[in-house]
Amino acid sequence: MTISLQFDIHGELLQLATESQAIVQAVGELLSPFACAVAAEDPRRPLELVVHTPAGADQLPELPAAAEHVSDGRGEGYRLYREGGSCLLDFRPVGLFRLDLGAGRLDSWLVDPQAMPPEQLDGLLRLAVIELLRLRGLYAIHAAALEKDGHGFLLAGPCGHGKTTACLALVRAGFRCLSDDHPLLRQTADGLELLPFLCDFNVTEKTIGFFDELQLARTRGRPGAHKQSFRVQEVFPAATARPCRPSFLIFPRIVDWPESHLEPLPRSRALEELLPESMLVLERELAGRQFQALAHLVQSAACYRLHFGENVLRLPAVLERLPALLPACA
Amino acid sequence: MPEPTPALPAVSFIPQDLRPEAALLEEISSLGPDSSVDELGRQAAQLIGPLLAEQIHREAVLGGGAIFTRSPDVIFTPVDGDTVLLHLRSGIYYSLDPVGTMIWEQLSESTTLAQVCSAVCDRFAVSAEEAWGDLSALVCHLKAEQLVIEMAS
Repeated sequence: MTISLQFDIHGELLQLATESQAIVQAVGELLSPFACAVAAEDPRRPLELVVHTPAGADQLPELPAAAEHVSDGRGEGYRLYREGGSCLLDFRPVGLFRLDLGAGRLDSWLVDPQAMPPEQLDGLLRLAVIELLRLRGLYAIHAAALEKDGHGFLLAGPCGHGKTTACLALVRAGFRCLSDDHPLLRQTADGLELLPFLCDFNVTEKTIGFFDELQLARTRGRPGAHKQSFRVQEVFPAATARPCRPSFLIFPRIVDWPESHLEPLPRSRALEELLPESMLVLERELAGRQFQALAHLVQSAACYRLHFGENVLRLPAVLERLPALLPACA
Repeated sequence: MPEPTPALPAVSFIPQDLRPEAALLEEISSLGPDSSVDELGRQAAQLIGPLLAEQIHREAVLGGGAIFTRSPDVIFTPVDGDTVLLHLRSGIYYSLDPVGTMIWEQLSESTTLAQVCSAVCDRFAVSAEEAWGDLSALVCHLKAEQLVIEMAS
């Protein structure tokens, strides 16, 4: 029996269809802030995420003969193909995505999702949602995003650079959180908008050790998960933020110094570091629009390298100085 | 049956001091009088190493009358004097410093490399020799990465 769930993600409808309870649960958790009931007369055309769950890799669909191999996904475990108006991401033996660009529909085949490590399933479903949202001009950025006094702070970079730890240190000090991993960016006529995409935080034991408040996460551990997860609003009730303008783009890098320091970063360097973390080139026109939005981001935000020191709890004092450094007209 | 490939008459684009031994040249059986310069360059790279071959290739291929244009597969944006490029087919990013940016901006269907070189000299107060060295190195690199297209002379 096909189960259908609907979500309203910053004005864009997304509809999930699947026969798998495991997928319903995983997508439901991933998109819980956006769950909604859509009226039958709603004129918006939904994005469609259809998840099939074959029992084995031998039941994954064959690639069409006309599919053109484009790239190997920068070593991220998939091969990218194009065929007509569709893109195919081949994660064999784990799964396969087929994104129909014109229809706004992503069919995914995920082999035995119940047997998949939770982080892997979450990552694949998150990628599927991100690729669908990209079609409607909502660009996920691999970053933590926070807001304070109307200023948006983006902490961008690859896994292991301290984004979540920095995010928690800032939330604890009164910053509000839009996301610890994938906020959304939208280009509007009035400029750029940073939008919440708040999911469960996944934290390592080391990160938990920095914050007394996080002992809760130890009791909610998912079996088989490398990290522990929790909802930030359960720990810090005033933690959630509303959309804002991105004012600061910060690239953390963990250093073995006692204190954290900021260093201005050339905008071209910032764009170079942002692109691989935030952009997958599936199709020219889409890629061009996202490239311009990211270029606009680095041109409109103040860019810094954060040398993230060992005294994690003193980080907020370093970042709180930034708004005073903005030009008066900003 | 196809005609046997004639012996290579000369490899005139390789300076005397960089020519491989004649015995090695005999191993190049796939080249002929009609071989393209690109093909000669590839064969040369096998014999004398990629760095020397690149230098030779650059000097041979890039005459001042050569014209290169930006590939339609590339999108780019200026950022504080630099330029960041994205190749839409490969998904690879590149960045150009202010000199590279100036050269990138000059590349067009109506501009020869000699004209670009002259513009570089005017803008950065460098000798023509130095400007040509930097220009030809960059254009070779851009061409190798398929960021530019060489127009027929």
